[in-house]
Amino acid sequence: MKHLLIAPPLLFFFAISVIPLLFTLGLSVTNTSIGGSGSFIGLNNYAQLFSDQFFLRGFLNTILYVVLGVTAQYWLGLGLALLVNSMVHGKRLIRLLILLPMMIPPLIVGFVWQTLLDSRYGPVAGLFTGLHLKPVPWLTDPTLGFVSIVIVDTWQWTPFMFLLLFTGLRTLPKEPFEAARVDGASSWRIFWDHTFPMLLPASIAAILLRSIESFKLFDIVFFITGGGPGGATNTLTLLGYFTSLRSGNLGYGAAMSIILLLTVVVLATLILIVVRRLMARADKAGQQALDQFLAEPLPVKVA
Amino acid sequence: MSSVKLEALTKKYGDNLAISNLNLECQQGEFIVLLGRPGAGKSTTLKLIANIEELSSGNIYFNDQLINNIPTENRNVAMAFESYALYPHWTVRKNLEFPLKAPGRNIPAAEQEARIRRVAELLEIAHLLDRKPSQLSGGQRQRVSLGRALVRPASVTLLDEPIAHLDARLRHSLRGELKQYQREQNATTFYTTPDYVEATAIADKIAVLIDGQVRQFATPEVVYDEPADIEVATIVGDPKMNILPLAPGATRLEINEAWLQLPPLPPEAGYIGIRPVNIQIFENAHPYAIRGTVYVTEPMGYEQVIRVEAGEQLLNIKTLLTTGTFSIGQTVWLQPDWTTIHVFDRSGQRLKGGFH
Repeated sequence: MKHLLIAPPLLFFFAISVIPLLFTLGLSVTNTSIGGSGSFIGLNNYAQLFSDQFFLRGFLNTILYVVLGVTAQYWLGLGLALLVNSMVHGKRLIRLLILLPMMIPPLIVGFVWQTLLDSRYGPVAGLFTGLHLKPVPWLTDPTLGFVSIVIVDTWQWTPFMFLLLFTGLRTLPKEPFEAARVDGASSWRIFWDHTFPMLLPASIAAILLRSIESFKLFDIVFFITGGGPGGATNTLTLLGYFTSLRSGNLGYGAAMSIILLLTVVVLATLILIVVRRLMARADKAGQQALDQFLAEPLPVKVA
Repeated sequence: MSSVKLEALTKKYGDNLAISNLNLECQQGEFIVLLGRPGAGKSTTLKLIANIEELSSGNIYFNDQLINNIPTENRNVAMAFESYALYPHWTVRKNLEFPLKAPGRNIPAAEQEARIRRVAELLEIAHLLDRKPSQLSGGQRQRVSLGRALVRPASVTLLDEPIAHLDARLRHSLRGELKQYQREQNATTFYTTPDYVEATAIADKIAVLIDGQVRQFATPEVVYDEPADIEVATIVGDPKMNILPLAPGATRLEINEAWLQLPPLPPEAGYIGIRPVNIQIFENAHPYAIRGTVYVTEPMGYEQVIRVEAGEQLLNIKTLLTTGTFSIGQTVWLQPDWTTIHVFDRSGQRLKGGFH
């Protein structure tokens, strides 16, 4: 009887999570389209995906966005965190300023950057013309378009990395670093020998969270390039959206979503295995820092 | 292996004066103990020497060279922290190795290994070399921290209460070993402790720190026999020295309707101090003795400490256990040994000269 008490949240979870997932899974093995009924076609959708140049490009793009974006965000965030942590005055103000980009809705970010980078009317183009440089097709060149997306994503989400790493730095004990200086270590060695390893738990948590979020990158691309030119900046989420809701090909779009889900689950599990390994080896202090960090509610809801 | 000179050191935290005008000078290879109560500025002094805390004003010299502007990593000091400050992600061996591997030391691998062996055996941590700090007890961690400070030759070794958290057996044996080891290495050592027994046992010279100032800097014998003022006198010695106020121009001490003739004292005398071991206690009425009531007794092995209420005073007496058995509330007679008293003026300063 007592188990009945957990029924309401279970039902809720079932209704908003499990049912849609099963529904999508079911949809992905049919050729259903909007407004029409579909029939069971087995794994045809999946088979077709792997010869679909748009899908493969989107898949590769998604992976590259995650790898390049998260890497850039991590090192920039770490650099900022170290810098701000070593500041004597004005910590609070600078921390607030750094966090600002994260507070802006991605929709606005997309719009602002699209305007900034517009190759005819944008201020960046104006600046280039003013300096007698050739205008750069930020959004219309396939490679530059891709780079632009990574830049904007990094601009918006570096603050998140900064926040997690800065918090991690603040939880580290002070004395081992004083001891290291007394022992004659240079700042460079102190960083690599002590700061970096002791910050590892926080780093892994931050990278994990950002990676999962990055896989779902949608809004920035949607507003800045719309996936173009010619699908060069597409992501899986964007492609799924266009296929299902713009082209009305629900079955095929569902198959894309399932592939994305599987990719995220596999990669997140891999990262978690690495985390567990490292945790088992990590010292108590680091583990406590991570526990404390994971127990705290995230300061900003991740969009 | 340097001589050290601290000149008018001052350290302020906001408006708080942690160290004020502290002066100290020591020779190469000397073992200096900074003795003082918690908050006296012992740790701060060490941190100023290591440049972990920045000087507010004053000068520090190693071998007569001003080192105020030399950064911590180039001062060649070794330090054991009160909080241990071990590297938590490294094994004990790597913790001990780190100071040996710092740039510019160029210590050959075989010598590194020998040095690690040596301190590990000295501190009885040889069996713990492959463990991490989180797998050690507090006392073991403290020994690793001490080992990290001793493992390499340094201009100055700074030890901040390095054996405070060890069990009594190890604390006693390490005092001697540590002194011997540092002498052998010819290392100049600064060592802090609030425990005067530890200080007198290990020090070449004791600097008594009170309120961020050196009140007395002398050999353990001198600090004990000729304390510079009342505060020093009460820090050095356990139980603490009995301090009795004198009426101006008094020639005798009156307590509980009895009086004792005082030896001739200078007119500026304000207090006399008598160490607990210099008062004799009798169970029966005794001539030339004052009467008191036993307040509490503390037997300690072959000795005992007895606190006796005499008039408004609570006097500490330390005597052999064989002197007698005393129970709380018992009436006893006390006789100070006038030849051993300390005389202080009204402001608490020691008055020089012989009064006995």
